[in-house]
Amino acid sequence: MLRIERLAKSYAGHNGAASACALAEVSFSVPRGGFVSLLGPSGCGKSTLLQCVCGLLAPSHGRVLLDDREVTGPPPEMALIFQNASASLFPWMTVAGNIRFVLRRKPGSKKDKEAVAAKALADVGLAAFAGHYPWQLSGGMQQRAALARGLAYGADVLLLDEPFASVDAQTREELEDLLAGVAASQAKTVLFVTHDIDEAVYLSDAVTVLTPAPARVAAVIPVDLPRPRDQVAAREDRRFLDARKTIHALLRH
Amino acid sequence: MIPPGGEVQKGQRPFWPPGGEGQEGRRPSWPPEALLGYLLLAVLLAAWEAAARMGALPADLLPPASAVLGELWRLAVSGELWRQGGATLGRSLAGFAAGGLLGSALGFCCGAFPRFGRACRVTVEFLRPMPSVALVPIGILFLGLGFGLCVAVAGFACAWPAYVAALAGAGAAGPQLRDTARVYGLSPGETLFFVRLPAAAPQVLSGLRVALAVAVAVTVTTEMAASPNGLGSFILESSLARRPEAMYAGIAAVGLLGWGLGAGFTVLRDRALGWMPRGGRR
Repeated sequence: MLRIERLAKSYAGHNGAASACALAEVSFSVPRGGFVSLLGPSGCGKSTLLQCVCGLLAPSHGRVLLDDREVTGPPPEMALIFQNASASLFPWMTVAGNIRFVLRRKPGSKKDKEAVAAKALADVGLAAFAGHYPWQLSGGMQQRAALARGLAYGADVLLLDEPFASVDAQTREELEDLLAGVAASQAKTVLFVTHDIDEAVYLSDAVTVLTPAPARVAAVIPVDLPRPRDQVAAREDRRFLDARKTIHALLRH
Repeated sequence: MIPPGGEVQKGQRPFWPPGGEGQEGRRPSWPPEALLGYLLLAVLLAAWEAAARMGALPADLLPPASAVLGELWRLAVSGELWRQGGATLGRSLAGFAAGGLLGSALGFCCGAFPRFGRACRVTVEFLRPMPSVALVPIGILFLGLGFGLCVAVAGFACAWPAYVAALAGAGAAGPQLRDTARVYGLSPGETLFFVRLPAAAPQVLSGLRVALAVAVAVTVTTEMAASPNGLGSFILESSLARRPEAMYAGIAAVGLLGWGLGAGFTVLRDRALGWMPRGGRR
């Protein structure tokens, strides 16, 4: 269970400028094994919120609780997947090397870790690219590699910051289904930041809609579509369209 | 590849891929890639030789290229070239090792630890433009003439290009890469060593490549000013003794030394940066 309680964050102003408030007061929770999307207008503080949740940034007020323990630094149960995989994969390591590197502190023999890396790469369909360097992969494959690294790390909670924003539409659908599949089969708790309403509704159990900055929670919209979902059928479903319409109205003003 | 629209007849240019730029369709270029770099040098040497032979150049100031090469050969056979060149090589490498290492380390630390960098900045910017030859008189007081002096002056001079490159390189691991390291549980020390340092490697190595050439040049200069031996001293003495062939042969030897060291360094650098796309290395 991931609980965000009255979280606020303001940045100190530079050169005497007034301090900027990114998050006014945000509270919501993600149940264990749940898939929650964070949706909000551009610049509303989604990324700031995610950085606070995973302990990279200290909040100004409020707190983040992971299984009733307060998050004060990046916990080993969380992995963060960035929007731009090419800037978060270590370019001097192969894809498999990137995975082995984040496992170096984990217990287990070298052989076990190689098996973990191989399994994670197979899960995301990159088994044949273990020995490639990140620059040799396409954007979509880089994002798969970053996801494999997060999965191999063994984190129960996956935080994703607009991970599919910079890939083409077709790759994006593939990656959405890939993520939904591994999240379900490995019982991951997922907090997924996006600015795309359809993507949020398609993937999530619930969509948390934020107001413009400084962000508050405008509403939490449950999506009760059956899983596994199909890209075409789900998007034609009455419940999908209703959720989409409600969220659209919330974001309009 | 079978082109759309049918098979290619023998001897006929395929219309696909456009322009016929297939793997086997490329014309062999002339001169061959491997010799391309030597062509300009050969042309310049030939022009020099021709001008000297036609009497366009005063023989006592600029003898023909062939005479200089002949003198270089004689110096090689007599062992003089290896004695003087060996002295210069040893001093250059020692100066490069000391200056390159200290300069890179200082630059990386200044970039990685901003407070340390600000503390050092004024002093560094005061020392950096100092002409290295201006230090020769101080060096003579402390170190006398010869090896120690040349190493110290060359080391001082070549530390700065290494410093500037490493300073920039320390910022090569962007905020997202550093955040990634934190998310995956790396301590600040591990991040410095396993993330920031390897990310800085391409720029550090580019700086060291410049530093190596500076080390050779400054060693030779220092030898001219204050050394009983080495190529710099040999060049100066040959000039004073009115032996232009020997003087030019010494200068050519410096060029060969710098070229050889640079080529060797590039091989090592490419091995260290094997992970980079080929176009990314300079």
